[in-house]
Amino acid sequence: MEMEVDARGLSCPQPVLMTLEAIGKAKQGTITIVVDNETSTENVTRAAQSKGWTVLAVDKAANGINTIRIEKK
Amino acid sequence: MSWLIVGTVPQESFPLVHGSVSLDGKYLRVEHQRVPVARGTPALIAAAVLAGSIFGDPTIEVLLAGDTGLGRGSDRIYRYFQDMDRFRYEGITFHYLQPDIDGHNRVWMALESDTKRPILVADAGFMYVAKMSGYAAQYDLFTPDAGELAFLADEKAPHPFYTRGFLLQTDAALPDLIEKAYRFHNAARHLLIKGKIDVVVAAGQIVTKIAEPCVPVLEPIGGTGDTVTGIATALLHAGMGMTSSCRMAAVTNRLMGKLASPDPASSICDLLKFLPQALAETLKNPTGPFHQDHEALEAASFTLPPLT
Amino acid sequence: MTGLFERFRKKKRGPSPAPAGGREGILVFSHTSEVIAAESCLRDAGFDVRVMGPPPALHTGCDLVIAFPLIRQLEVTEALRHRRIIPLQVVPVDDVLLEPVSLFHTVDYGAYLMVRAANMKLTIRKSDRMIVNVSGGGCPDVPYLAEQLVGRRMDEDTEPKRHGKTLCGYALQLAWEEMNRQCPG
Repeated sequence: MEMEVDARGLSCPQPVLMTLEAIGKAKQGTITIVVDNETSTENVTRAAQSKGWTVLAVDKAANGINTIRIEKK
Repeated sequence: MSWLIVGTVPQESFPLVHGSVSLDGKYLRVEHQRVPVARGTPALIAAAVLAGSIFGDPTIEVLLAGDTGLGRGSDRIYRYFQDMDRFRYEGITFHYLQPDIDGHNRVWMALESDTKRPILVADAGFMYVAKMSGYAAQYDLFTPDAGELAFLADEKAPHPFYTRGFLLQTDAALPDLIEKAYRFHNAARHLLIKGKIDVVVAAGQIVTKIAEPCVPVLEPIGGTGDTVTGIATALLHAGMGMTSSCRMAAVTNRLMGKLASPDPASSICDLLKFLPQALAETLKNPTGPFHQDHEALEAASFTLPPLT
Repeated sequence: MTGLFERFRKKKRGPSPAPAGGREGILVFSHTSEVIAAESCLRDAGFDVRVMGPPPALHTGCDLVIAFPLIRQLEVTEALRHRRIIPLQVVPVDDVLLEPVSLFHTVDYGAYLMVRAANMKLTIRKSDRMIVNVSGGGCPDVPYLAEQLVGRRMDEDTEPKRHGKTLCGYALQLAWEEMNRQCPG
């Protein structure tokens, strides 16, 4: 299952809550989360790892938009 | 990644235990031991487990020993901590432990030797000794009550018992106490100050205050300060930012108190059953008013004023 | 709820400042629990002693020392020896010693009264002086003391110094004494 979470423009703790909600729904598969600041990137990464998901990649664009891909098999 | 909570239980014969914890009614279960949730570290753990459960099964572990004030159980914990595997912990909350400088420094040297530093939260006796040892500024979060903030602000006091009187006088001195605590490097990077008004501080700046719901009877109830720290622990473990975790923990704790309608004779167990509902309510409105750009303050490099 | 009121009360606790014209000595013990026992022993024997913080050179953590008139050293150590309390050191004091807290904060909750001393809070039900809650503190004896005290009346052998082992326990003792003064049986 593939899901996408767009958390751009949202401040803490919204990006984490949206990520956790997606994790709860997906249970496994791949989720892509898009955020627009470093703090959210770190928090979302931590949240995913705390739920046992693997962070596959964190792509950082020049415009400050970061895309985090997480997976659970 | 897991979170570790370190503290003591008030039974001298309680063995040292280290492992996963679960909540079973009014008891915690860890290894083959059962611990009543009455106050102190068990109350903190129960709050963390209940709050963490909202986000799915929380991976919380505990390191506990029995100690009724002689320090023997705490000493066993300090020694065990030096040699245990800490790599799987993204955060550690230190709580009711004997304020022994040698013990603290054992813990500190172990953490310094690790390649990755976990998020460090301290409250109660370990917060006292972190300050006493001169390492307060190395911690990520302290959760003092108003009286303990005065202790942090008093550069001469080795324990809240010795806080000088003029520092204990009035709530209006709060910004001064915060400034003093940071000036003498006796505060963690963040503070969640528990009181009539809860205050969240990041890098020396007040970022938000929480006054509602107002439940004055929470103050005399043993364990209500411990549960705030437990809720904050769970939110940090879930990936929330520091200031958001502190704010939501404070709101949730108050709401839990309001829902329980306690009186000064209530016990923390009477309140904990309302924690899941209180957190669910808080999460419906997760972004509260912040007086500063709290995320920038969280992320800013933490520089302390020079000691004079 | 009946209105709450709060008040502060500064109480000059225990003996007066250092004896005029005389030097002080301090008794150093290996554990706070011994200090609490020694203080009781010496007060019962009529000595003018003060519980204080140790000078910085002696400080290791949760510390109390007993200051006494140096001129009475022999009598003091004898009194302790009779009760099998042996200090680690007996030294003349040259440094300034830390004063324990002497400020109490009381909150009236109508049917209940709470007294705070330093970081410790004791709450009783006024009608029967039943101890209903103990809160605050951070030393490991606090939850243990709470278990011993909550549910018992003030006059049912509940003085925290019987079981307290740390400065937090001692602060609870001060709160208990202030409560006993404000709400006597």
